[in-house]
Amino acid sequence: MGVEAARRLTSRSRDIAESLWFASTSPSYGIKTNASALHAALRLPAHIPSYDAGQSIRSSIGALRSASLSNGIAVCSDMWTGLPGGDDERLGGDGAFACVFGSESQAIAVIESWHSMSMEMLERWAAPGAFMQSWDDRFGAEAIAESLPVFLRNVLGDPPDLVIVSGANPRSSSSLRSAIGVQVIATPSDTGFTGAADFGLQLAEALQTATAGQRIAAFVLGDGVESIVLRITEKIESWQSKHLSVSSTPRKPVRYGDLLSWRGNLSRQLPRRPEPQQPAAPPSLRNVGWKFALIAAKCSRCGNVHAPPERRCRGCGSIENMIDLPLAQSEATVVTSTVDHLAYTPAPPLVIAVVDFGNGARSSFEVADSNPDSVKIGDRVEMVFRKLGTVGGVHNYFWKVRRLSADDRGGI
Amino acid sequence: MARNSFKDRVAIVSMGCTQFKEHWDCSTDDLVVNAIDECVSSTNGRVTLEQVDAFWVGTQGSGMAGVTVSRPMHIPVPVTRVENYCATGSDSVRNAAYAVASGAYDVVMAVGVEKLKDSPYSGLTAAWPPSDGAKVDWTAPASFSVLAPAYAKRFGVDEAILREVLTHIAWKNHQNGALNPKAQFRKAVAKETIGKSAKVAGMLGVFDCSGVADGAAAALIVRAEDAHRYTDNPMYIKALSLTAGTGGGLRESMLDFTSFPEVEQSAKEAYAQAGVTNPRKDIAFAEVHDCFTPTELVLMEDLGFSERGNAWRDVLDGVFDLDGDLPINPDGGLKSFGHPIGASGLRMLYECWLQFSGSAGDRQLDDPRLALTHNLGGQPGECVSFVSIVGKEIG
Repeated sequence: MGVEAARRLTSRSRDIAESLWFASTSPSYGIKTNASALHAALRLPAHIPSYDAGQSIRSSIGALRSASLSNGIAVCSDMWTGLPGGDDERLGGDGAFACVFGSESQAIAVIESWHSMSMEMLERWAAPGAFMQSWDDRFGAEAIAESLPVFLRNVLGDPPDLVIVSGANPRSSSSLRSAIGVQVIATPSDTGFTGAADFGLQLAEALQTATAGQRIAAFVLGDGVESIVLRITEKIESWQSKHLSVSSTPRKPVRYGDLLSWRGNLSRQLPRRPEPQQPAAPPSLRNVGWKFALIAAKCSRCGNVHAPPERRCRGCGSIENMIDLPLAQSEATVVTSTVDHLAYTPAPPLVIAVVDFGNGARSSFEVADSNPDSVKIGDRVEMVFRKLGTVGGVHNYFWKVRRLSADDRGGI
Repeated sequence: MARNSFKDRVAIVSMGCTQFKEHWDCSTDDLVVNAIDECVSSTNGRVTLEQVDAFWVGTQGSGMAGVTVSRPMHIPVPVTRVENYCATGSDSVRNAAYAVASGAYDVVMAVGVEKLKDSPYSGLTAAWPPSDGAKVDWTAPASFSVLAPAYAKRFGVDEAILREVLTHIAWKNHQNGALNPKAQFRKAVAKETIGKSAKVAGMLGVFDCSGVADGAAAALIVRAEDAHRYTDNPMYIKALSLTAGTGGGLRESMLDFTSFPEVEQSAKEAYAQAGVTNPRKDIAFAEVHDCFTPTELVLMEDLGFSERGNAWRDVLDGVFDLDGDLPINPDGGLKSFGHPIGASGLRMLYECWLQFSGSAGDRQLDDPRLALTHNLGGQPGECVSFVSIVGKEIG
């Protein structure tokens, strides 16, 4: 999701980026940097640093604040899941947000101020690898309420036009809203609370209708409170014309059983097939361009395109003339497709398509977000970055195709 | 590129084949021993095991190296292990044949074996080298299932009619297998059962898929001029051809999945070697790689048995039935004889051997003289294809 959000940044913003910061309460890996997969998928130059910003909700603001110190990209991506049947599961959602910092003359919003108040308190927490636990929500709400008036005086001295409140504890969010008083408060999205990505999703939604000169104050609750105050510039209009609203409607309804299984809350009968192999480290590095950024190879001598890259040209047989040809933004056409009921996949049945890119290159992919029988020969598809599965703790990230419909083109 | 004719230079003088089935009580070693023993004892003493100069053993994954034969047989001789996907068994024959033809050896044996049912898996599996994971991990039925909608679209065949065609192919192969004491499934199956079987991939149900079985088969191969020293009824090799594809079908915008270019090429070469100009007429019967029902349909066109776009009509007209003009898979094929990968190519030749010598029992055809075997490995778009043509007499 982080990659998908970051891909929606303009290519220029990726060109100017000087650092990459990633925040999530549900990162894929410990020890290993998670931001480096984003870095690879965005094709950032090797000398651009990539960092993870902790595993807490407020680290999202930390990621933004760090990114703001240079022309940085901040990506906040999260899956917010509680145990089955609980409020956190019911109120939670998955989402991702990305933004890039740059010069004020190019900005759609200028940061006026950052505010922070840290409180060490036991409100929501998780042991590494374990599910989230929480204290009574009343405690958290009341504990923070006492400190809010002073904090808010600093933030709201010059009243903003819109306020965004993001927090896991609904009672704390209510406390904050009451303390803020009369200002216009953004409505949280239908997706539900999306952890480290939540305030960003709300902000993106607010920016869809913001007008130049407006000021927005965003609050993030969690072990205290963080706030950013932004002033919208006249560049917002050109951004609005290029960006579509954040969609919270899934293409394909996710079955609750699938969700539980993906989250590790439900074991399902596996097919009588060998478990897929763990992606091996050396080929994953050798082929990082194809695997993470979907970069094919084009022969500069005869123009033949190879997806994935090949050493020897299929067209002219030459060996040393390949140049990079990124395909991630390409559309393709389904040549043939099938449904595999036997294959090993986290979301059976596996839907597969062979697609032509229109430049002579053909490749096979899993089809994402598709009902098994809905893919037809001749369908147009786009490329999406996904996880194919996880084997032995190693996540297999690669690209899938998704059928194009009229309402989700553009933006990428 | 020289592709010289190989016609009548080499002959098969004996064969052996185990039953193909779930041999819960047999190991790979047991199957190898049983097939070789049957092959040698069928010569009635005219060939002994010690006379075999060298072996080629085809196995996709049931053994490593030549010791797959030399160890269970306790013979310290040259043995080469061959692997070429599902065409493994055929390729062991091909290499063994070239070895006697070269004069390096006088008597050689090709063996094929696969022991699949010591694993709990459905369908076929393979041990692939480590990879970056950036690929679709589709199963064999899924990869072959794409033939059906592609064929229907290209030739304007209604899906319900195509279903009938595929059902007829499975029905026919089960009918044939029911007559074969060595087949895995020895039961005719009603067309309604086939058409309604549980879906495996695309429009393919369980009854559109070949049987997963254990088994082994062996062939004793000598130069044609020596053949009558070992048997009164040699089977002469008229052509051997193999094409390993470029994988272009999955990587270049060229294939519409209604054909195997590799099969067309290997068939063309085999017909040229054997001097066959009208396959539909010249070939008495054929054993083809019916791994899935649409494969057999497409093969009828790629092998030149049907005009392009007409195989579906020929299937429904019964052309390829046991009593049709050109019986296909009289032994039941992969569908009902079963598909122990490394043994299948040899099993196809075994049926030719039985038919030529009049030993095919209830499925005996009327004095066939020329037959074709076709063995395929891989998937549509990226495969290896083998074609042999064998005959009852020289010339």
